[in-house]
Amino acid sequence: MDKVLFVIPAYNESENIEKVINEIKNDVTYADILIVNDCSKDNTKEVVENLGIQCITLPFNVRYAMAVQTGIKYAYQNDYDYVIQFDADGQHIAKEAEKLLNKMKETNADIVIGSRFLEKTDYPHSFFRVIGTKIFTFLIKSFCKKKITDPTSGFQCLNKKVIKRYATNYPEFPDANLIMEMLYEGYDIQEITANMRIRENGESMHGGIIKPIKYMILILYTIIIILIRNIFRKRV
Amino acid sequence: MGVNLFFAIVGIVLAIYILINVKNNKFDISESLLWLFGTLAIIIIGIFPNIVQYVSNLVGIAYAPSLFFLICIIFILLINFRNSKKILKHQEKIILLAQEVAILKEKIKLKEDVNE
Repeated sequence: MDKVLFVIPAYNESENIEKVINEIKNDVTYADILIVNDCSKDNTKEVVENLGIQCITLPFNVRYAMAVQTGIKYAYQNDYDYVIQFDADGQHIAKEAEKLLNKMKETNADIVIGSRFLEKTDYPHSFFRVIGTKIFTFLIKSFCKKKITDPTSGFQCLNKKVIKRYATNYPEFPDANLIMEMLYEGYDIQEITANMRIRENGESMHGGIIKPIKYMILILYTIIIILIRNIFRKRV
Repeated sequence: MGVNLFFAIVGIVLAIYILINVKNNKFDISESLLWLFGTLAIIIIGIFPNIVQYVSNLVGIAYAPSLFFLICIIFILLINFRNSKKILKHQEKIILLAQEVAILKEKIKLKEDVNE
């Protein structure tokens, strides 16, 4: 039996986390769950520990990406075969994770992304997200010759090879830039339609107007750096 | 002449200050070398201010002190960039340590739970 780990980074998610954990426990019984508590100010840690779920608590807030990497490092050290990146806010549906796993086993892909854009789902997209995603999809398509409809999705399944890579090398902003990096390095990335729910409590990481614009510029800049790096890699 | 002497003394005082810090292990040896070169430049220019005049004539700068300021600003910018790089390296290392600590803490907890 393959060892599967749900890596769930959580920051102030005490309202949602219990539901998320119970859902995974019921629907994906064979998987282990790991909550990476990114130094939450509320009682996320207590809630998780009362449920008897493993909880890694970071000594200070390291932000989303580094929290995810902590979970992946844990998976690497404990020899897990698959990691499923899952959100703590209840957006992702545990049952859909099996679709990702099956797709991974079928296609032998290294990364399977749960996409909200592959087929029309009933998920209500924000304006900025649609525009941003379209730009990223276009960039990936033009430079890597691969259609990734939802590179920003935080719902991903990783195999052992990728776990090892991410455990040692993971960017601060894992987005389209990371997808491009991985494609350039020869990893196989597949997508599958995943339904998602609307956030119930709390605020999204990418809310507001200024923040998404700043984020877009940052990711575009990172992509340029990756493209430059790739030119040098080919010549060497 | 008085101004020249003043700058030379400022340079010497700075150099001594840096050396005292190195002596008391409050400052890095290799890092201090860079700063000592800076103070050395101040001392030399303080004693022979004609150097600045001479060089600005060479490169065609009409107002000599502006060359002096330019060199100072470039020096400070470079050091600032180095600092920025160092801070980022530290930040990376600190996060790495935090991750390791968090994972180890969980491992210890699991062991203790088994023993109980």
